[in-house]
Amino acid sequence: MFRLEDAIENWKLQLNQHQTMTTSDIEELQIHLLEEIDILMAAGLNQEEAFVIASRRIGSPGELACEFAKINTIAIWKNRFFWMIIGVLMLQIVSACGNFLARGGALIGCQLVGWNALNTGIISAVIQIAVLLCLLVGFYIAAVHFSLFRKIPKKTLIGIIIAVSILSLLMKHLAEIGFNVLIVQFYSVDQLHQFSLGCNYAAMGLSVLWPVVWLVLLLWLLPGKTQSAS
Amino acid sequence: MDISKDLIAASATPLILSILAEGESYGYAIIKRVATLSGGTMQWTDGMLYPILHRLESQGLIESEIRTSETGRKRKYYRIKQDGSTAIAAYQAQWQAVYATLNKVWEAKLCLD
Repeated sequence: MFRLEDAIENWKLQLNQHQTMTTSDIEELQIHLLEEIDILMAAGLNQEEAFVIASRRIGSPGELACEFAKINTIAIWKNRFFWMIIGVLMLQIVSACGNFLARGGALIGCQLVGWNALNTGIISAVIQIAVLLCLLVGFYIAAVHFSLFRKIPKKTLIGIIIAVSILSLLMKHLAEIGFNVLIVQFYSVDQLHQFSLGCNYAAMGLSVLWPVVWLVLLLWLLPGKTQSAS
Repeated sequence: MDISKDLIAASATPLILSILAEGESYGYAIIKRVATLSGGTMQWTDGMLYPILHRLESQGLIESEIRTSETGRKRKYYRIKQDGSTAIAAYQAQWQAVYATLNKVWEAKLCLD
């Protein structure tokens, strides 16, 4: 059954999808739509008919987005920068978590499992690479479900991302300190060299993987035939 | 007779300014006024009005205020400013010049016929 509230919400979502209109732009258009619907219904149309005609008269979301894009350039770029900065912070969080896990893994490896220094180094770096791969998957999921991110109020999103960012940096540095304190107690100078050699071997893999990860991501983000290049 | 899109776009700014010179108004009422004035020949896509209003506002030709209407609905009312009134005079001179030029050439053609 047709529900006017749902239809209007859906219509607003379509307008918002293009990211060229501000909240107040959409609000003003909504007021216009409601006025038109009232008049049409007073003329004897039912809710659904009135909505269809009113939304048609107001113009297609694509056309409107295009017109608003011409006047909202600053707002559009502010919005783009907002998401870029969120992306940078996410990257920082992932890299801090990667470091934390790598150090934690190395500690567990040399303490509990009793790996030799070389293996510990390799394992530590491999964990970092694995976290990077998770980042790629994470980016993909985030992009596919981007509309979910947009539903979170921006202020809440800022709060969450800053808090997680600080927490992950703290965790990273604490793990780093803990690791450095403990490792000099258990490893001889020779073993320390072995450890760093292990890290370097694995880091070679990383230097191959790193550009590949970003290449795949960028290729995937290139506008396809079905998407507009604007 | 439908007026071409280009002409509608070109005349939108002077038309909106002149309607606001009659007194403050809001989006929906402006659209209705255009329809009445043109006898339905100027078919606007309603939503296109708003980017123009916002542009005029950022240019300082008009100003806006959000108020609650008698029906209890929030509305954004637009009002012309001094610069807007000055702009109307300039637009008037331009449009009359265009109209006069076209008229002259059409009259000449009528004489030749």
